[in-house]
Amino acid sequence: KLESLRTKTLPPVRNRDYRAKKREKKKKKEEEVTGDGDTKTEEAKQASRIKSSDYQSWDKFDVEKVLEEMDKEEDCPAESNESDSEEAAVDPEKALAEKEKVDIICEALKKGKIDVVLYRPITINPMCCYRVRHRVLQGYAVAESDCNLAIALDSKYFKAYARRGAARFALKKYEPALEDYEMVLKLEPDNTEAQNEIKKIREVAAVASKAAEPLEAPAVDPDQQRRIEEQQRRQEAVFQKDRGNAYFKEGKYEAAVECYTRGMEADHMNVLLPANRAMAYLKLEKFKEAEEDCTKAIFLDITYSKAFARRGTARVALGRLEEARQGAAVIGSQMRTVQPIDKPTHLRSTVSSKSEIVVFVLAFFFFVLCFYVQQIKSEAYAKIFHNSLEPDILNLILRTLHDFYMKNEEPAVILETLRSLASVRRFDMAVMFMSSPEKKVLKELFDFLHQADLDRSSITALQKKYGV
Amino acid sequence: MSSPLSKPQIITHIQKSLNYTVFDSKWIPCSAKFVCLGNFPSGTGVIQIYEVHQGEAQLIKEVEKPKAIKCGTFGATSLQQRHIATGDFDGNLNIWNLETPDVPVYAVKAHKEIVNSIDGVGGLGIGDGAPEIVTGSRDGTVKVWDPRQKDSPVANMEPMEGETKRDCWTVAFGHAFNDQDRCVCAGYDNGDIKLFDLRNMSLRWETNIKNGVCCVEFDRKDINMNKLVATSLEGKFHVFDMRTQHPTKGFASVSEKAHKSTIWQVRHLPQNRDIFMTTGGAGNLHLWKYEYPAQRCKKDSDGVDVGVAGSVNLLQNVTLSTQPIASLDWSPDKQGLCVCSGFDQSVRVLIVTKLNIV
Repeated sequence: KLESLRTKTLPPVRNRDYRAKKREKKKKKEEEVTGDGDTKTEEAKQASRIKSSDYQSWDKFDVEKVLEEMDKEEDCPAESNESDSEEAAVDPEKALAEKEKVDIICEALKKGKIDVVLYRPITINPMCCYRVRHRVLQGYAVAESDCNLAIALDSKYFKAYARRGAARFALKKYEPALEDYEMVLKLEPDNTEAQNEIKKIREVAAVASKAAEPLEAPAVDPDQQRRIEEQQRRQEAVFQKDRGNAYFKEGKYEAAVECYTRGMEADHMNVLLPANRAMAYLKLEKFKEAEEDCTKAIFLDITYSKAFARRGTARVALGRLEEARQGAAVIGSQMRTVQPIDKPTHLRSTVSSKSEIVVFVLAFFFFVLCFYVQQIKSEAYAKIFHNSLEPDILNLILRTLHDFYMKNEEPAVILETLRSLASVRRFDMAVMFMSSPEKKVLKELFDFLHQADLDRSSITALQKKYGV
Repeated sequence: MSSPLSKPQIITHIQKSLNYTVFDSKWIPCSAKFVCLGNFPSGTGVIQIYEVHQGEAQLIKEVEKPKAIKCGTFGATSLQQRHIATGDFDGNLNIWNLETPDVPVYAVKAHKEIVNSIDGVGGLGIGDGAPEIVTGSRDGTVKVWDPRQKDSPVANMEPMEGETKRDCWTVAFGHAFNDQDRCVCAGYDNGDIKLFDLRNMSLRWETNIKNGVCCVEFDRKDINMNKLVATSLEGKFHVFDMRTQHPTKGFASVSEKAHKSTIWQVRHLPQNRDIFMTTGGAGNLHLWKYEYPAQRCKKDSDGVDVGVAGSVNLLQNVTLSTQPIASLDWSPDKQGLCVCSGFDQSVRVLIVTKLNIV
């Protein structure tokens, strides 16, 4: 009996859907927060949605009606950014959650905000194949390929056939369109829409053949074709980016890199893909590749601050690796090989990432501290910290001054640095938050300055400002 | 006619005074040891393990934890491992291996507020199905956890948005007679008793007994729901017959007034599911036996099945202290042996006699 106790196989964890649903909700929230540079109708999404567990309202939900409404498209192109996830543990709830977006998109449509609607509720789970493809304004070819996918997932899904029929009709492929509608009738004998469409197609086909056009396929001019292809490629890129993001959040960094690479192949102009791939490389500690990707991203978009931040991280990490390899003993010479020289100029271009970058660098790479602080000209402090000075950054800088400058540099430089620090906004707040060991450091700095031959009065004035 | 001496007697075997507030005491299954959970006056939690040895409770181990511990259960662990799952004042759920109690085997921030009550099912070789733990908290939610899944509960029963949150004071598992079925019964401070079905993830039954519910317990966790006892403030407890659910009237019940004060706990004897003990706010214990009616189920005027409640008889009562007895646990190994702890900072090992002939 003991063996049976030990080898007892337990049933699976109950209610996996709850966890998948929660993760999806969290993922959606995170995407909105990180806001990958895509300003989308995220706000519209927060509007009224049917909760995915609210089965009664879903029973009353009429997909057909919503689709009809969506067919009234208007003029400002925007893409709705849905995330495609490859989690196999997906289920009706997830598809329902995606369907909620239909509602939102619908409303946005009515307000004339969306024109091209790319709607992707993908469920790999064949049980719930509500993969509804809506007609894109001019992209009937795209719609057709999407319907092919839907049919591949579930061959009995008559709506997919209906949509494909409509798409083909629009593309003037009458024979295949007829076939599709006949398929629909086979699956759903009472479908009046299919019957009407068949009648229509037969009429138009008769007219077209009478006009004796030898061409069967419409002469799509090369421009339009190119546009369609471009659209497809951009779709693909966004799709890959979302997949990559999903992998990244799960911690599967290699898979994320793969997805981003595929996306980059599809669309060279998308700045987010190289930036995200760089982040994934950083996590995998492949700093060289990360730096290259960041450079690429910066090249595509000079104002993208995250690319700068990540490149900085990569470079500093590279520098640290080099040091470790050479068994760094002497800090000075090795540090010249570290590259973040041009950092301060880039720093000024962004507001929020500035202090982050400084904290990050200062906090982790102590060896770089001295070098880095040296590089910042003392007058530049006010500009760099022009928003505010965090108390911990202030303390780090002070400690650097104390530990390195007192031994190596001129006291005048220290005085200048202290003075420019004092001129930063919200400096008094930072000073207030200094604890006693930090005040001790400050006292020692000032004692050192007093010993040197410098202007006494200015030193004492500065001391007062620092509250020492 | 039973003479006073042929009734079961409740005898205090060991009484131990402690220097901290003890909230819960549980027997370690298959052993003569019990665990006391509580908190020191400084606010840190404590787990103490005692062994009943030659008429004395000897302290074997004492572990201090950063947060005060409110409740614990061995219900969801295997007999070989015997890990205790505890809920603390900060809302954390931890599962400890008492051999190495420095680091929890499983830890999660279960609730935002104190975990008032915890229960476990599926362990100890009793019943089928996965081991699960349910916690009820002052933040009004009842969450079910599976130790195989990190960080997120398997089910979460919370009030709808916009509804007021009522503190959940007690939770209990029941109806776990096969792999899939489970029921969680939760009692709230406004007198609500809600029965959640975990297989359908729905609310199966709810009622209100007018006074805050201090403790609910099924007579057995691993069978088709048979009886449920719910105790409340103001000295009342209700015994529900759970075999027949009427669509509108719910379950049949019988209620008893006893103790003249809050009834803090009810515990069924593991060896006989019709005998249970209730502990009171005046430091007294009452031993009850439930008698089934001749017919447990009858047809009402509309021809729908409705349950019939039986009757409850008092077998014995005893007053141990002046402070409430907050926890009671029957030993699963020796019939009649139980450990109880109260707010007079003492833990007692009691022996209840003659339960085999009652």
